Amino acid sequence: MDILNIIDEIGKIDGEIYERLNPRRKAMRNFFDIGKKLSMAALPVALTGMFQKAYGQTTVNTTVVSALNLALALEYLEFNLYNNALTATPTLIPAAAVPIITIIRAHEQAHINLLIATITQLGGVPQAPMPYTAFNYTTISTNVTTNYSTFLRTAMSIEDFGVRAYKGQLANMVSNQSVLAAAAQIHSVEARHSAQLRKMIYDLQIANLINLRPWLSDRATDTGVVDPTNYNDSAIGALSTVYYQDNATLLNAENKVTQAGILLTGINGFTNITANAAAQSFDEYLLTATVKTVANALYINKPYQLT
Amino acid sequence: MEISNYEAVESRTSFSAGKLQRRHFLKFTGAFVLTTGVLSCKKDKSLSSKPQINDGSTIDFKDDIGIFNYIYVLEQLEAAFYAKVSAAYPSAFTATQTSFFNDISLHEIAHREFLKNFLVEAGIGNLDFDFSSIDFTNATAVLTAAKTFEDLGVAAYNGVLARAQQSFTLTILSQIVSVEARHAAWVRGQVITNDFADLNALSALGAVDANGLDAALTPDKVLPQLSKYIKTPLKVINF
Repeated sequence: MDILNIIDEIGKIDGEIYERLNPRRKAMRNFFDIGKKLSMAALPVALTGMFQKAYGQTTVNTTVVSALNLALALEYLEFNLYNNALTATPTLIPAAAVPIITIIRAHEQAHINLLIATITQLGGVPQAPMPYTAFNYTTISTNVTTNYSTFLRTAMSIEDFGVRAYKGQLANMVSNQSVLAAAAQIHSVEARHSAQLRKMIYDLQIANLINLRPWLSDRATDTGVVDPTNYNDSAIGALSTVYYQDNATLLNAENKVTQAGILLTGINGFTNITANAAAQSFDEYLLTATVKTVANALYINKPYQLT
Repeated sequence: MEISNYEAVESRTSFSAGKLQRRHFLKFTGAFVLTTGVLSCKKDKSLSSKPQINDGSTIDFKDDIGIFNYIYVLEQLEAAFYAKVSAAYPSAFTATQTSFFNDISLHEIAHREFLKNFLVEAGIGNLDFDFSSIDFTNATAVLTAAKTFEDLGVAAYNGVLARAQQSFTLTILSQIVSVEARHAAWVRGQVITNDFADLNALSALGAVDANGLDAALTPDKVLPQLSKYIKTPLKVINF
């Protein structure tokens, strides 16, 4: 990556780039300091931050930082569930599944590290670390630390929630393209986690979840009867808000069949696109206010609740 | 500031233009940095608000219509592939594999038809595909091909998502990419155990394991990997 070439290219458009960069030695120094600590892959984020500073956004972009901090809180929520299971209750997870949960935990840790580095680099203050005790993992059952299927189902709901939350935050990051790109790459990793956990639950063939899919679906009974009015395929009523509509838009429950005004059910004569297939084919977002409401109601204990 | 009117249908008809304001300049520098060594910098970012009529095979990245046409190519390819699979499943497929492949096939049809109706005359036409290199009777061959297409799909969506000029485009892309990621995760696990999100293996597609980042590739890296399957010549411009 030839950084000087980039700066030179921009110089052809903006002849003042060197002046913009040079008098602001802090921006350059920050960049080089961070460059020492970050991997090459994280450089684009650092570079864009330098340009943003150079181009006069001296105030912290609170929209981007707030979006990243909300994501960070949810990463702590995910990480601590896996970390506690792997370290505090080593008999909870069957040996064959330990490598899977270990991989997922490593991703969440990497996300935490990247989010903290990015928020700091943008001049923001990262959400304070949230320990295991900050969270309530007992929404499905208090046996989450002793019952493997409860653990998996709790993890699934948190990952599903995380995917929806990331989706809702992407539009808040459009002012910083490299941050947005990285957030998108985290978002699809979370979707992979959700799919894997759903697959593991499917493999257990638990009563009420025999027809669970790796993709969010309309609720289906164990005999295969699909209810297109039921957006909650977790079979846990207390989790309904995870899969329900966004509070602000009132449209985006996970059984939604119309996208951008286009009805997907039976689209263009494809009668095999049922309401369930239509709902499965698009995931839905949750916006900030709803994410905080649901997180506080289901997963986060009082002193740590999101404001 | 919260994003309001997040899903404005009117956005469909207003792929209009921004001016080169600071926000766009910053986006531009971001794009430049992300693709260094891959592309030269396209300086002409002029945008048009005129209705677009596609000649049937042009993907013009000058605005979001190009992004939508690009993913329309991918969705046409995926839908055609799964249609061939579901016409005669490999005999070694389990009942679960058949059932889940049927689900995926329907998702890809829904994506393709959605994009067709979304783009109308701004869209490319129906493409022809050549899957003769895939043995559709062989379960491993089918699973491996599916894995390739799904991972490339995730990489492709992630690789253009940040270039969206309208938050509406961003939303649609994000709504589909997570479904593709679910496909990819499940299919990968059918080929290799516990491989659902092997970010080291996916580094060739732009994933970064150390940062927990999924695949992301620019279109110039994605399309050549698919060219042997796409018979219809495509014109890709203003990338």
